[in-house]
Amino acid sequence: MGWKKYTGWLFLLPGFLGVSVFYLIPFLDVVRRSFTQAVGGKFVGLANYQMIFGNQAFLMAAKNTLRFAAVCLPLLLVISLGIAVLLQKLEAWSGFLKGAYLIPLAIPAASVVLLWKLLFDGRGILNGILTAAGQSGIDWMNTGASFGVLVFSYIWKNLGYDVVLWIAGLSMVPKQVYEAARVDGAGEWRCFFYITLPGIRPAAFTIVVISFLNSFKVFREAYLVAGNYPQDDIYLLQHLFQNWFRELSVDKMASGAVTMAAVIFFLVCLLQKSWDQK
Amino acid sequence: MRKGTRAIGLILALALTAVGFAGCKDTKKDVGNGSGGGTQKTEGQDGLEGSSEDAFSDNYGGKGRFLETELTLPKETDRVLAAGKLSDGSISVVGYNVNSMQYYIMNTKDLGDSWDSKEVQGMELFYVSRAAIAPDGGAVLMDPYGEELVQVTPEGAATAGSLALPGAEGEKKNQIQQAGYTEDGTLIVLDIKGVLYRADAKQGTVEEITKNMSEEAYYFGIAGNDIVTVMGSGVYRIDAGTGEIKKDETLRQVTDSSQEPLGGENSYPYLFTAGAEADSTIYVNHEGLFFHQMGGSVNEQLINGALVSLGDSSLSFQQALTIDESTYLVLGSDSLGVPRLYRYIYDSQASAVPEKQLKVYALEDSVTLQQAISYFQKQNPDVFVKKTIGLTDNDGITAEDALRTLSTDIMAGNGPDVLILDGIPVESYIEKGILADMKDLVEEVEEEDGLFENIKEAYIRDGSIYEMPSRFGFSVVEGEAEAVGAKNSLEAFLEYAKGKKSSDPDTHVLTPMSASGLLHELYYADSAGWRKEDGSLDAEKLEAYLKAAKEYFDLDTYSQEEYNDQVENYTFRLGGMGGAASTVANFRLILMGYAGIGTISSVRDVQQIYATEAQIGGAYEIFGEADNSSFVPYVSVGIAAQSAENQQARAFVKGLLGKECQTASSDGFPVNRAAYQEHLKNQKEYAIGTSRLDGTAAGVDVKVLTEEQANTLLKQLESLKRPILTDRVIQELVIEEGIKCLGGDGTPKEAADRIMQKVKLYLSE
Repeated sequence: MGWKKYTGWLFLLPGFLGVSVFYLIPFLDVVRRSFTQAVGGKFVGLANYQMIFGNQAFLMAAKNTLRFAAVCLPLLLVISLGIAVLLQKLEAWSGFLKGAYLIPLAIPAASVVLLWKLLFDGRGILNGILTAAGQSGIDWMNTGASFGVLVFSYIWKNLGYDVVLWIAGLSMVPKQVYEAARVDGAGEWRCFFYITLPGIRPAAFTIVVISFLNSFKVFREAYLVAGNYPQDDIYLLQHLFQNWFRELSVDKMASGAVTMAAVIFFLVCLLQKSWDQK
Repeated sequence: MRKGTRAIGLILALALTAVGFAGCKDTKKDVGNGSGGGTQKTEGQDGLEGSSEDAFSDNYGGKGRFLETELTLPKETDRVLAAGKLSDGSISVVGYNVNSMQYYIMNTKDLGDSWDSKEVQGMELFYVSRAAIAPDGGAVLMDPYGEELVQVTPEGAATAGSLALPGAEGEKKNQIQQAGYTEDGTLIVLDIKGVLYRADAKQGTVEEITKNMSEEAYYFGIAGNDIVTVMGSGVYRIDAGTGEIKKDETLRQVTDSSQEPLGGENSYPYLFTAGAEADSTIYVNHEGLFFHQMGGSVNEQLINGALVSLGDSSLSFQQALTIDESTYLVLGSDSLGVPRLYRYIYDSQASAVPEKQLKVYALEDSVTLQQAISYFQKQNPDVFVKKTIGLTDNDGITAEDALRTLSTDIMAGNGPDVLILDGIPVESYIEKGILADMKDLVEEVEEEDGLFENIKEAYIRDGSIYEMPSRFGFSVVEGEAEAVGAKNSLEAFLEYAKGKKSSDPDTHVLTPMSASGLLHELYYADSAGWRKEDGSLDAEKLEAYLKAAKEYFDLDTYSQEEYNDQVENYTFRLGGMGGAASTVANFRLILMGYAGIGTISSVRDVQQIYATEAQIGGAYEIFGEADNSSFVPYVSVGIAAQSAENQQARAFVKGLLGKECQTASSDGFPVNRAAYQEHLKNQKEYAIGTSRLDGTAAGVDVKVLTEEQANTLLKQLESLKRPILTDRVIQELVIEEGIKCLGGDGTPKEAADRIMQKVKLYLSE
């Protein structure tokens, strides 16, 4: 009888130990290093934080990363929800289309990069089309257009995943509620706003958080296409961390990582609080 | 039932935990790059590969190792043509003296501690390209075709003769590639077609040995009365008397992993000889010396190349000799062509592997570094030097990845003791206290041998020296007098070139270069002044550089055929120091251009330039402002401040900057003055032959520098003030965008803007 109440904890143990050893404990070390010199470990208080908040590269990268999340998240969530709702109605093709939307997730980053280069190079396919249409070509990767390219890439890659998540959330809303509403004369929009949206609210929190965290993974494509120093608008925090690591600027890297983790934690808490209040 | 379920659940949970952490076990054993000197058996080829990455710690504590001694050859020996063990146990070599143009047979009865030298008498003067020592103490010396031959008896009497080689094709004569004597005194020769013969020097006849072999032999070694020959499909041991092939699969596979071409003129990636035991073979390569018993499935590593000079990749192998089971000799020549004879004697009291370890890191390997390691290893047999190269040809990782790996090692406390700083973010390392001050060490070398003070001065920061190049070069304008007059800036030089072009639009004014080669050479010439006082990059100077590069590149339109023939096939060495200026002179010689900008990196380069100028006129001058000229540093070294082997690290750096090491190669001018004097002293005279674009022959006689020329060079070396911009990130960004610009992708202004945007980002980090 005594064991029974610990069974759940025991099943949690492997995962918890793994997370602790590979994430939590190293992160605590990162927190420690954020208060010390890069080499030698001398305690420097908040000097590293002062240094990064006065560092133009960090401010630019943080701004770009937040801007990217602020632009991409709403776009992705709205588009993927729209497609999920449509797919739910298209019963005949929904299985095939769900699979089709997931294809980008299965394509390795290196292949995506090749596609990017073919499409967005100065002499690439897109500029070829523009030139054929009598327009002048755009330097996609060396102007502000690069931000749009990055947003497009992120949405293209993650759309299928979010669609599947939304479909899972939508399936949790009982069909009988829709049937009852329609009997009472509710149209599609009314059903969507008064039944679908409230019904998927629990799933929405998870989808928002996952999409937010996925937005940090877009760095891979940006790095592979444009290297360590891309156009200013797509210079993200991960570029900076990579470069700091190369230069052995562990002090800056640690304080930057702690700041970033704090911001993510704060935003997730804020999101959860707003969800709970509703 | 429920108890059982719970128990299963508990076991599964614990198993998951255990499995999850199973991967955390540290299985990393190898600390060293060598197997130690103790013998170690390896299975077939896989085993061999493993042997070069063995555990330093595993063998730690054992006793017994072959120790190396470099033997001093008689002073008249400029070249060694052959070596051999005589039946009385003594060793003889055939040597040649360049000044007297005389051949010698030198014999030692005490394994190289003392030599008896005999001039080969009575022979007509001819060019000897091949020689072999007979077991009775006699020798044979031959011209490349076997048409002229001298056989020397053990008593020293010489008889002229010739060998009738079959297989001449039209007017093309057959040639002798290699010669050697078997233990029973049979002369074996290999012709240029890869056919092995038994030869009778007295009768002048040859008899084919490898009639039943369809493959050609690349080269061979003698093992008793057998020939061990390297062919395309592997290594074969053949009875020299019967031509019978002794099948041995393990021996056949020995060369399978060779990265080097197996065929070579007078130098071979593998040497073969007989082992002390019957039916055994010894082979030598840069990984070490190995023993193989015929029919066995193992190759036993007796000497680890990483611990001795065998590991020096610049050493060209010539011949190996087995004296007995505990003594071996290896003959070779260094990168300057100086003959080197090494003796290895087993010392049962020496520790199997050195007890201390010194870690040396470089992003890229270099001859200079390898020589420094070999030199240090010889001086300190009790210290194992573990060399780590960040960028190799095999793994495809980028410099960024390599540097991040280095950062991880340093942060984990496993960082190197000595760093070769080429391509490494030196500024950041100094700022973080990674590098130790080595000013006192540099000054010690300066007191002993003298250093180029101007180079040293350029590296003093706040009274400390954290980084010191071991070699350097500098950019020059080479060409006709008018071009050399425009040496002060890229703009002035291009004005000259454009003026020349407008007066004769059909001529090639500038010597050809690839886009990358040109951008690198102009970067070496111009980049020293790009940094502003606040640390940022001067956008105007950058744009001017790109504009000049573009104009330079576009001025002469070389046809694709000319370009392929003359540029791609020409040896432009862009990565390291390579003497592009002498290439400019060579292009002028074949009438491709009147002038060019390139780097000078050795006395040999200067000799070649003067040789060309002696024939077709012209001059060379340092490129850039007269009182602010720059140099290209190479193999810059630093010591890790946290090094656990600080004294050894200091000794290593001292060796690297010291006279002996700096004399050993010409991969850049040495910073050591005594070594520079040695380079001047060691100049050789030779001829270069080539053909012009119109098919006519062109050639120059390269002479030793006159006193005046040597003084001019010394003044030039002493006038260099500052290093070029060595920041790897900036250099890569500039070259990358520059190549796009030269290829027609945007204007120099656009390219400069793109570079500045990225550099600003980089500098703001």
